[in-house]
Amino acid sequence: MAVSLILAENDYIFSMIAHAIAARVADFLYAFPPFSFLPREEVEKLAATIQVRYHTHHEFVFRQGEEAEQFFFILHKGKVEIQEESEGSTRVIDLCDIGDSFGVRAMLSGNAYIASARITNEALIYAIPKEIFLPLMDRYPKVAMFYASGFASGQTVVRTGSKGMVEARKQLSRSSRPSGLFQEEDVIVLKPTSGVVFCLPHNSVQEAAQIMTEYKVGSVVVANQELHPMGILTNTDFARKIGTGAYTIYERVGKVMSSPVICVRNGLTVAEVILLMMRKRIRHLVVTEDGSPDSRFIGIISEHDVLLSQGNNPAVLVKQMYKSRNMGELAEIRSRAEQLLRSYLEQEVSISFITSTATEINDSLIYRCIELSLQELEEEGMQRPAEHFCWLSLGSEGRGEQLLRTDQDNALIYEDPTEECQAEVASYFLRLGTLVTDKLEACGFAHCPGEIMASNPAWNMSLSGWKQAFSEWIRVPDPKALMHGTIFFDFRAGFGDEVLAEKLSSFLFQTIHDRSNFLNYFAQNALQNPPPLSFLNQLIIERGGSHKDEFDIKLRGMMPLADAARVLLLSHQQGGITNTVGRFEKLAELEPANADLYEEAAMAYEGMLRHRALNGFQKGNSGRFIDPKSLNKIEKQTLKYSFRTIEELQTILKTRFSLTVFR
Amino acid sequence: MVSWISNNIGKIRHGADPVIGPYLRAYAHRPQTGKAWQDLRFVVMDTETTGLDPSADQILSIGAIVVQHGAIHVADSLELSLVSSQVTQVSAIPIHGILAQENLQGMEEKVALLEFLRYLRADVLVGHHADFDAAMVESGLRKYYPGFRLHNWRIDTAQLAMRAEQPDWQAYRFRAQDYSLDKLCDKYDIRKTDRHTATGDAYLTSILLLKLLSEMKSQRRLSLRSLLEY
Repeated sequence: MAVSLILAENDYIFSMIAHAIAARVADFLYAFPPFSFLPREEVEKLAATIQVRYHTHHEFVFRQGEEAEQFFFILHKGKVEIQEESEGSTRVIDLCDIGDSFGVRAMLSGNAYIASARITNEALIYAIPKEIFLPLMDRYPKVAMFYASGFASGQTVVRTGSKGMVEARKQLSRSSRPSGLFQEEDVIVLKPTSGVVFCLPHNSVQEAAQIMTEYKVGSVVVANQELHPMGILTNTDFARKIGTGAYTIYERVGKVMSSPVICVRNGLTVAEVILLMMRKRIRHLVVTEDGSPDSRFIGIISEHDVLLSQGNNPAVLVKQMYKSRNMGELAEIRSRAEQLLRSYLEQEVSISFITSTATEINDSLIYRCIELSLQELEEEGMQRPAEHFCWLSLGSEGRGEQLLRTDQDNALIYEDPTEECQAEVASYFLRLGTLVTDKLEACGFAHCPGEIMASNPAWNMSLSGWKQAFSEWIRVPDPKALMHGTIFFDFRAGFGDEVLAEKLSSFLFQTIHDRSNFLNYFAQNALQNPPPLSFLNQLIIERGGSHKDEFDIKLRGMMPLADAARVLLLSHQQGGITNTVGRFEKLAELEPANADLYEEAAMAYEGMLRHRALNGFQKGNSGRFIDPKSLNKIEKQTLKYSFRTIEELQTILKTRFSLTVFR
Repeated sequence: MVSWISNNIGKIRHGADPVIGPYLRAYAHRPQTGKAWQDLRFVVMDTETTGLDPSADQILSIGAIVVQHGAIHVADSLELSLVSSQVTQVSAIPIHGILAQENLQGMEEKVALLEFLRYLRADVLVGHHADFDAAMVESGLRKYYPGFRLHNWRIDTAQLAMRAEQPDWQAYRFRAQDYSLDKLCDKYDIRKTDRHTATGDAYLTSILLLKLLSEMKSQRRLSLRSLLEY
């Protein structure tokens, strides 16, 4: 729409002719965020107002300290470096790829440029005028959000510290996913069955059965005079308690009912209900006015309701696992669970729900494998020792982050036996460890190449054996000890006596506290892998300037985050949380000054978990190597932003643990 | 001298015309040749025609875009489609891919060419083989304004490309076919989109102009005079 044309009598005709240049510019812009969030007509209108600039190598689009132009820039062709000059030295802080925005912040704030944009070879640049762009930002909040969230190049050098930024990033990363539709499956609110029948605690079981028969229901709420729920009587209770003869039909309901009941408020989502049912291993939830047992009940949610709400359901899978009697069946259920997890990932269900579900599934599988193994040992005639034991999940399963069936990492801890039966106890638990790890392998969890498994005598020990191993690592933090620390310190009780795990945990904190020097080494270890600088086209731009074809998201993205979270939380003497996201959330709480950074780190980690899992499902492998070509613009920018977060975290580690001393 | 006389003849004859008059009088405001390149308004144009003979063929469309202060101003661009009386007999159709029906929607030749003049003003006219495009505009307007001539400074990007390569440029050293817009786009790594539409070619030419100016400005202070001296 050439603005210069002033021809009233031909306006109509002219408007029919698309402006070829503006259309081409629009084609280009439309392919990249934030322009991709705009309606096509708006992009075309905008395109008709831009300038195209050409610069040769080493020229500057703008220089640090210069007053902001009334434009911001989009790289159309070529390469642009964003450089920061300080104390006489120049540092490249970002590389712009085709379609990247730069100079946005200075334009918006009207302040001077905080970095320079320099052409590395030659470049064609679109200059977008401020007065045209600002109204678009007002009218399309997503555009404003895109820039507010720091997606533009050269923007992320200074942390704004605003809550809004974190929120914006959350919303954007959710809404701008290329696959488009956000599946709302896990946020559907389950409606309780209304018109629930109830009885009073002094009614007889027989009366209750008559009520249930009359209303054709499988359960009845037992409530007091104020209609506060006290318990529930279900078909299962009739089978187990009446049918077996334990109680007569004349018994008072109050004695026979299952109690207490789990009460919830109205408005729970399917996801929340499933998690609660899995965690509590129950089938019914009572909905009350305020969610507590001390208010009137308004309905009931049964497992059946959940089942009806979705076809394939993790709670059902978990239940089937607990019921299954042979390995073939168990392995088959685990494969079905994988399909479910994959579909969750593809449907963009929230990652916290997916990891919680995966962890419940894996935990149940481990639990069942141990139960079956214990039975086997009994059948073999091996006497189970009196000493309690606890199964420890380590590594990603220990952190509750194992979405893919990768290697298993586990260990076993048992109470210190008396000296005379030491050998016997040790051999029993080693046999148990071997049986369980073999079963897990049969279910698709490969043997750990480093033999970090409960089938290895080195990692199947008594409490004092473990204490000795831990204190040895902490006393002599050589590389191997530190590597062990990163795996073993993420232990989580999987079966058995959790007290043992807790004892080991408090021993660990005490020992680290006594030898605070250890954390310096541990922090140093967390700095092994600095994040890369950027992606450019197909290349990963490493800080050193070299490049590779594939990006190792585990080594370069996830491990640095998990390692940082671990060491930082250890320095706060905080136990009980092994989950990396959970650790960052706790850190945000403990250090309000760095809360934004930790929240971003948590988000970055979640994003990478999703990426890696999807990549792994697609390729049928561990998913750790990602081809940059397979990433779209938003994904690249999100990852690039994550690299910044890692860099900042590593800076915190360096200062906090005075790591320069070690260099 | 011939150019001066014909311009003045035009001025005398058509001075009262609301478009031609102001255009001809703007002759006095042509930029000084000492002006630096950044301060000039370059009107980069291309035409699609029914053939290669300005005296017999007709313009089908005009595309033009302004380069100023080292930037291409998409907002200051022009795209005109003309109604042609001879569409059916043209030989250029296979090249340009214009269909007869498309052309029916265009403007009358006289209206379109006057619009172009209004846009061009007294600024520097740039084109790939600009002389041909200028000749087409002139011969088109002469049907309505006998003796009309364009008075703008004129820069041919084909010749500018030769000069950018060799400051002591002499035409016989170059092969013209190496300096087609296509070849130069390849050479200067300009992505060819919308080739053979007037606007598309004008846009490519404007990028070429920016690149050539950028290359030449390292040689010496680049004024209009140095651009015209070939």
